[in-house]
Amino acid sequence: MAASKFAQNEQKLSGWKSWGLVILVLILGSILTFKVLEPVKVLPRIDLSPGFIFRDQFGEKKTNEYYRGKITVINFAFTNCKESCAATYEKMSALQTALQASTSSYIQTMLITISLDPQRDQAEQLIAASEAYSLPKTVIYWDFLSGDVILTRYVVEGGFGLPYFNPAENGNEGVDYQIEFEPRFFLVDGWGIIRAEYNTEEFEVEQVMSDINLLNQEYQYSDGPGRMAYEAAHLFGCYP
Amino acid sequence: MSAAETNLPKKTLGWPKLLAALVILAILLAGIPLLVKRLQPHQFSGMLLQSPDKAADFTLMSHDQQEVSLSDFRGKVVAIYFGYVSCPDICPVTLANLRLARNLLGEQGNDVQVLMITVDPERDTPEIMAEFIAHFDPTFIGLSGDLNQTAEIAIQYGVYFEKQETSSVLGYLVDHTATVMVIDPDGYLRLVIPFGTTGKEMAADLKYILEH
Repeated sequence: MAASKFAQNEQKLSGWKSWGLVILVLILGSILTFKVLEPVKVLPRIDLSPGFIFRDQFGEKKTNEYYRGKITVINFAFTNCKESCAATYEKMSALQTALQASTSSYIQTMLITISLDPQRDQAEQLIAASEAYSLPKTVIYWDFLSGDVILTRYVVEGGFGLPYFNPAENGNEGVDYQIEFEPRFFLVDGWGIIRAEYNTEEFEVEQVMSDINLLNQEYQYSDGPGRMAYEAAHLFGCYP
Repeated sequence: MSAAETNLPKKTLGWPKLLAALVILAILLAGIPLLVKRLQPHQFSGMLLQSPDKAADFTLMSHDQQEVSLSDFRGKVVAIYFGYVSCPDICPVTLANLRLARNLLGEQGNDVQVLMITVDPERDTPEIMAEFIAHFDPTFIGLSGDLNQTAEIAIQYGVYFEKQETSSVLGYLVDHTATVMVIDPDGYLRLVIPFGTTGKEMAADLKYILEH
């Protein structure tokens, strides 16, 4: 009698164990499936974009807080640039055209060019650059920014980690000096976090548009129940 | 089927067993959401970063006039906030939330160090900072440097600040980014907490960083 009761209890316990095992397998299976299939893709949150205060081509003050809530594509140049900036301006222009044609954007995307030559790049020069490269009538705004010499260095070199050599800062600029730098582009989200970084070769319009679309999807679907999937995608590193 | 089997008395659930079954069912029903909650990824109120580099180190003067570096706090979670003493609203609210978060963490709160870097070094002398900080939490540390030094550090932490002349009795105000940056015990910038996050939400995020 006691033996049969023991056997019954054993059977019950083994039933519970089986259920526990099934649940565990289901949970691990879901995690594995998520990791392998990556149903949600996200761009990594690489680092904080630096804080800044500059003035745009119209003399308006622009801070990093102004761009909060917008996706921004940031690059660096100077208006008197002979060769090194040509490709970067062209690529930014092409991106602006693509964004203008795109209908899938959920939040506003803006382009920003930060001047590495704040001594020469005043509003007049910035307006000329804007007129030369930016689309005339567009909702995809392209801000050309310039500001204080020291703060520019802190932002570009300290914040974005992009070294450059400006001879004017040492007082030996001569006539028509050029600034030495390696062109880079940064994709920054609405929270002020760098989500992608490109050099000139990597900056293909299709690639950047695809990255911007991923950000738009994250904004659109990561609210409410979708947020869990997006946080999981960040934790599991579901990057494109 | 044997006669013995057919003659077995019909089994019915007695009240005690039924009650026990209901209690177990209720526990299971209540337990499932808890289990799901336990297994789901932590819902951050801040933004979790996958920073590849260590947070920029800095050395500033503390409110008790000691040189303090970020790297002095390796092994602790550090919450950095840029604010100033005459700040009318945002800074006191954020510091109060940080105090609440630290308190909610209990013992674990001892592993959280709050640093407030002043964006108004002209007015925020060590004495003034010491008095201000003491209102919130005696473990908080107020830090100051000169304007250039402060700007260099602030920029790297995604913070801008600018003096704004006003007619206020407080004199000028300082516009500034109001996020809290969280550095993990290994010195990596892991979390950016936006203004408006409650102390309870901060505590949950800090707990995650402490435990992962």
